[in-house]
Amino acid sequence: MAPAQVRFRSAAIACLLALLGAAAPRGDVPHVFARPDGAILIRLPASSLTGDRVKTQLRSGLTTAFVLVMKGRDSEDHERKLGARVEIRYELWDENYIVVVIDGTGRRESRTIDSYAHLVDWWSRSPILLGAPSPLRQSGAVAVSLEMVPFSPEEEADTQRWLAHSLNTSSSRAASGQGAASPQPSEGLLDIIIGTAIHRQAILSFHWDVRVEASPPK
Amino acid sequence: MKTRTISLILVVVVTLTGFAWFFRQLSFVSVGLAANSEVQRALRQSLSDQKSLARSDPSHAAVYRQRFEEVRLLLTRMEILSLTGRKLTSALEGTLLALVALVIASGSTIYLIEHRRREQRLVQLRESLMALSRGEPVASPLGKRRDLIGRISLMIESTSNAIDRDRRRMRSLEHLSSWQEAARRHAHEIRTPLTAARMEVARLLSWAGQQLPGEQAALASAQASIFEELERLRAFTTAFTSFAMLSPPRLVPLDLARFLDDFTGTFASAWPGLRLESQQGGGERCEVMMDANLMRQLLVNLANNSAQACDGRTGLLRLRAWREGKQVLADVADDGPGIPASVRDRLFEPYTTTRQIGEGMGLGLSICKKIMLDHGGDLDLVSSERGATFRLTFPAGDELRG
Repeated sequence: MAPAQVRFRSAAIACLLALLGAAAPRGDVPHVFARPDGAILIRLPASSLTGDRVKTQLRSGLTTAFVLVMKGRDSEDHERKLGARVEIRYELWDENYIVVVIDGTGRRESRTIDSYAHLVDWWSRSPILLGAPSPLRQSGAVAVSLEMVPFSPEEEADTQRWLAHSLNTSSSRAASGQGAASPQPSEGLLDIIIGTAIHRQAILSFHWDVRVEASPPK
Repeated sequence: MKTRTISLILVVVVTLTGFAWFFRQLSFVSVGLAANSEVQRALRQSLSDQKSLARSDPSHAAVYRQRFEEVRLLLTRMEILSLTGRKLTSALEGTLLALVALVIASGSTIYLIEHRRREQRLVQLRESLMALSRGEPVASPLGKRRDLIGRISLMIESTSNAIDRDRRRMRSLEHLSSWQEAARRHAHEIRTPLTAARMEVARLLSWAGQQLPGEQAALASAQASIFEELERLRAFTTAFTSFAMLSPPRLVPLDLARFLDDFTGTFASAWPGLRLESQQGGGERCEVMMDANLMRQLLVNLANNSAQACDGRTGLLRLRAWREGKQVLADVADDGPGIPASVRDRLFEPYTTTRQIGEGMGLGLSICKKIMLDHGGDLDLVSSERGATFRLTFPAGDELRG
């Protein structure tokens, strides 16, 4: 299928999903709520982790990052952004999920979850801190977006180095009879192309418009 | 021009399209290999196998774990390639397409510039030909490029030079011929009354001797004086005649360098105040078609002039011949005071001399010039730092024989 067709189909599916999201039942949207101390937290819907594409991606063994961004307005009606990131990597040897949460305050927390079902359960139950205290109004509409980035910066750099090294030195390596040499940074037009093309980019995204609630849902 | 531009655009478009299509096929294959699901499945199976092996053989679990990690790393890279392959392919395609477009654009630009330059040079070439047809001198306007147009331009320039040279030779020949005719008439007009006058004077003096027997001595002195003047007039007429009756050359092939060597040997002591030196180097053969007697006369004339110019001191006359293209050249150079600037322009005209009146007729260089023109060549005075240098130009003998 041609890239244009693929893009068109992706756009059509995204529109459809957005429409479905708008019409989805209450359980398929995130809950954003404010604590009495002024902190704002979010609880993501399970559906954002149960789609086929997300499931396949999570089982790939790559470090999948979920980038969470929330836009709202402060008391002076200025637009403000809050964000957090969740990285999930399926450990192929131990067959468990290693989850790292970096919340809106920069605090990093990791945990290991032994199965996909537990991961979905954790995902839908655990609130993620976006700001403490939050500059946003404690009540009002906010726009939430969640983007799925399929691999980490380290994996990206490793693949770039490996590919560049393979293309640059494959012939000389074959001639010298060496085995798999460790990737080294290399230069040239090919490296620039590789650096530009092999680049982290969201492959899936969700958008919701919700209101900040005063208390966590039951 | 329009057709050429359209053809050029078509070639560019077809080349770029063909390249894009070809590279697309090629890159789909290469990226497809990386993203191939069977490869990934095999790698996953390998991971599963390593784990199974580690469980069944715990003593080597570390080895299996290491292998597992190696395969896992490879699988990670394959997964990333399959995710970014399309973008990678597009980037490669775009870059290579841009490079090919750049090469084609550069080539086309160079072609168009070259085409325009060639058109301009053709226009200049046409103008040169027009000038040549009008008999005007043509200087090569097309630079030093040795392509077809450049070579044609050089040929036109060469032809123009040859025509110009021949024209000058013809002018000189016509000029000298008219002088020769005048000299012949003067000689004839003088010689007849001169003979009659000589006879009448002899008869008159004989009669006077009979009438005045006591004046014999005075009459003998007067006779000697009158006959001396008449003899000078006769010599004057003879010189006129020799210029007027110059015989056409009898051309035979001769080596000019060797001829000059022989001349310096034969005439080594002919002029007490002039030393002759032949400077032939390298044994280069300088064959020309020439009349040895006339050439000897020419060289003697030049040597006479040099010896007289030395005015009592010992001078040096150098003779050198060499070949230059389709010509053989010879320089006859002395180290005397040189030719005064006031006579250089009309040096080869008859009766032009730098000597005192009565010391020379001023016909020697005219005769030399005529001899060279009759040989199909020319005689010129060339500039030199010291003394006078005459250059003899001959067409090369092998060129004349074809």
